[in-house]
Amino acid sequence: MQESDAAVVRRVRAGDVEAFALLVDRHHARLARYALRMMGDRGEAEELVQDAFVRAYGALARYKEREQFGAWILRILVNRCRSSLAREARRLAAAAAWIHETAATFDPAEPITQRDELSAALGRLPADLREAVLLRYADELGYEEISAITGAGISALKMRVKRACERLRAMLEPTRAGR
Amino acid sequence: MPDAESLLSRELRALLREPVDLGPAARARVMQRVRAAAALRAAVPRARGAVRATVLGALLAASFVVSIVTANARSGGNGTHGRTLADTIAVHFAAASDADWPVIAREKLVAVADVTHDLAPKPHPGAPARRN
Repeated sequence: MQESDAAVVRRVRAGDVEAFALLVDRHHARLARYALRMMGDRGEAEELVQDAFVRAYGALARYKEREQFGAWILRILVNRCRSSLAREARRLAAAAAWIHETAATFDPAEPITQRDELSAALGRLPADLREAVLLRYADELGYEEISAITGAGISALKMRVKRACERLRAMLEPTRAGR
Repeated sequence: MPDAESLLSRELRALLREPVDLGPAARARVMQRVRAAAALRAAVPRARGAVRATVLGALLAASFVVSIVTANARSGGNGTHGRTLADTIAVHFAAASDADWPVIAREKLVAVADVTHDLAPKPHPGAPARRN
């Protein structure tokens, strides 16, 4: 039977640093998915996921076992992504410019996958809507869990998810209908 | 409010859930940083008596700047090329050996530097060292 996250955390707290690799293996892909879809940049996503793990390691003494380790570290990552987005407003402006530029220089000979379209559409969503829709549909969390992670109220979150879905549909469906 | 499930197709939801794997190297890099953090934690003693972590950090930062500047002056600005953080720490402790203020065990700090494999900062001749 697989050792629970809580048991691994106990080992790490007792001084077995290498046991932390188990937690990294278990949660890295999920965190990477969130960070990549949230930030839109692979290098930055990797950096933020690293930061989240290092911060989690440093804060293990404060981790309460009644909470799932996965939810706890996801909350750390969500906060890291928020800070990064807030700090790098200029980067966002550059990304928006890049999206417009890409649209203007679009080469119809180059195949665009649905995945590319989705990434671009996610990049155009405001950060709070993107965060809500990713936690709801990529991480498949319930609204109560999302509320615990983001600090937003459940009705506000439902509204964000609804708006995000509407915008994604508006951005993605016309392009698909036109093919 | 209508259920948002109906607003996003199954296809799109599947794409959102698609796993992202940054590869084993990315996971290895996480562990490299975690080991460095663990070594640093082991090297820096907890606040004892009147010595607080912030004071300790300020003392260390100041002493590093001094050691980098003095090392650079001795080598004429060229000798720091390829110098590792461990080397800089060694210079710092050697220079401070007569004083009372190195409060961290030199061996432990050098061990941290070896784990991180950091190169020491190379101050630009004539320009003050800056850290962001």
